[in-house]
Amino acid sequence: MMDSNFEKALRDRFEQFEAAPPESLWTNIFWRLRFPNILSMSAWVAIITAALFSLSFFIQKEASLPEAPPTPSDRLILLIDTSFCADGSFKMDTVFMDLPPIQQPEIEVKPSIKYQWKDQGEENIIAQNMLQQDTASFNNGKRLFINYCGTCHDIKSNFTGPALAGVTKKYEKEWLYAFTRNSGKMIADGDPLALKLWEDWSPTAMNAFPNLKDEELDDIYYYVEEVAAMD
Amino acid sequence: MPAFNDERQLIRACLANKRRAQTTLYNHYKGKMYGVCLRYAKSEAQAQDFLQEGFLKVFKSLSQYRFEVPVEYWMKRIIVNACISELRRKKEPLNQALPIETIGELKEEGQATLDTSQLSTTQLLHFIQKLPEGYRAVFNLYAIEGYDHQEISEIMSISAGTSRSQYARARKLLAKQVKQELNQRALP
Repeated sequence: MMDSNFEKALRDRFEQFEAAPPESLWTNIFWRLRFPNILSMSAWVAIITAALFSLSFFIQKEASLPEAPPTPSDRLILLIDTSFCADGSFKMDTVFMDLPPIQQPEIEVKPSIKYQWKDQGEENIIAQNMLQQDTASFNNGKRLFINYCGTCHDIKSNFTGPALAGVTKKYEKEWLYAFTRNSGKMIADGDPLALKLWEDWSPTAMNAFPNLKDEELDDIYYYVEEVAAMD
Repeated sequence: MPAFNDERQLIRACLANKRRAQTTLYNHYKGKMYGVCLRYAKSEAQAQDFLQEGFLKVFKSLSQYRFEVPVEYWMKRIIVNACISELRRKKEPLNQALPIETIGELKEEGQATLDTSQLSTTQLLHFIQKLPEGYRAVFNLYAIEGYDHQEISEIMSISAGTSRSQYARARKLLAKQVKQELNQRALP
C-alpha cells in the first residue's frame, strides 16, 4: 500500500482525535440495550409533541363551537327559476338550497326612556319589558327578513319585488299573512288586490313561505316598518 | 463496588450485563469513537446516531471479542462498519459514478501535494464532513483507517476501480477546499 505523507499525517492526527458526545446519548444506548424494541428518544419526542398539539387543537375547537346550531327551516331557501315558453306561458322550477347560517351582529336598540323616576318604577319595568320584547322582535325579524325576503325585496326601494316600506298600513293583517305565505294561490283564486299586484309585477312570482308562523311574520313586518321609519 | 483494573475484567463484567461496567466501557471510549463517527457523518446529529448504533453493536457482539487485539481497535472496526451500514440503510448513494474523461485528470490532481499542517483537526474534520456521501466514506476508509482499495471494495460492495476514482475525487475536492481556506487566510 502506497503511503504518501498526506495520508500518514492525517492518520496520526485522527488517531488521537477525540470529541465529546452529548451526555444523553448513553441513556439512549443504555435503554435500547435493555429494551431493544424501544423507540428512539427523538421518536418519543415527536410522538408526544404531536399528541399534545392535536390535543390542544381539539380543545380549542371544542371551546369555539357555536352555542346551538340553527334549525334547518331557518336555513332552507326556496329558489324559483322561471323559464318562458314560446306560447307565452312559463313554468317554474323549484330549487332547494341549504345556506350557512347568517351571523349578523345584534343591533342594539337604544331605550327611549332616558330617566328613571322613583315613583314611576313599575311603569318603567313594564316599559323596559316591552322594550326588550321589541328588541327581540326586531332582531328576529331582521334574521328572518335576511333569510327569506332580502333576496328579492328591499325595504325602501323596488328590487326584484316591490319595496316593503309601509306594507302594514297598506294592507289588512290577515290578507298580508295569506299573501306572504302563498301569493300564487291568492292570484289563482282571483283576489282583487293580489291580481292588481300580479298585473304590476308579472311575470315575477313571489315565493311561497307556508312554514312561517304568525309571530314570525309579525316580527318581519315589525322589522320592516322599524327600518322604514329610521332616518 | 468492583474496580476495573483490568480491561479483560471489565469486558467480562459487561458480558454479565453489569450496568456499571457498561457505563465505564462507554465513558472510556466514547470520545475516540465519536471522533470516528464524526468523520463518517455529515452532521453532529448523524454522528450521534452512528455512535448510538455503533455502541449497541459493540455491546451486542462483545461475546465474539477474542482478546486478540486491543479492545479499542476491535471496537473501532465495529463502529466503522456500523457507520457504513447506517449510511447504506439511509439509502445514501455510496457509489457515485464518475464520467470517464475526468478520471485521467483526477490521477494527476489526486497526487498533488496537500499540506494540511496549517489546519486544525476540527477544520479538517469540517472539510471531510462537507464531502459527498460516497467520497467521504472511501476517503475515511483509505486515508485514515488505512484499508486498501481491495478491502474497501469488499466493505462497501463497490468495485476497486470505483473506490480508487472516488478516493482521487475526494482528495481533489479536499485539496480545493484547503487551498481556498489557506488563500482566504492569506488575505489581510
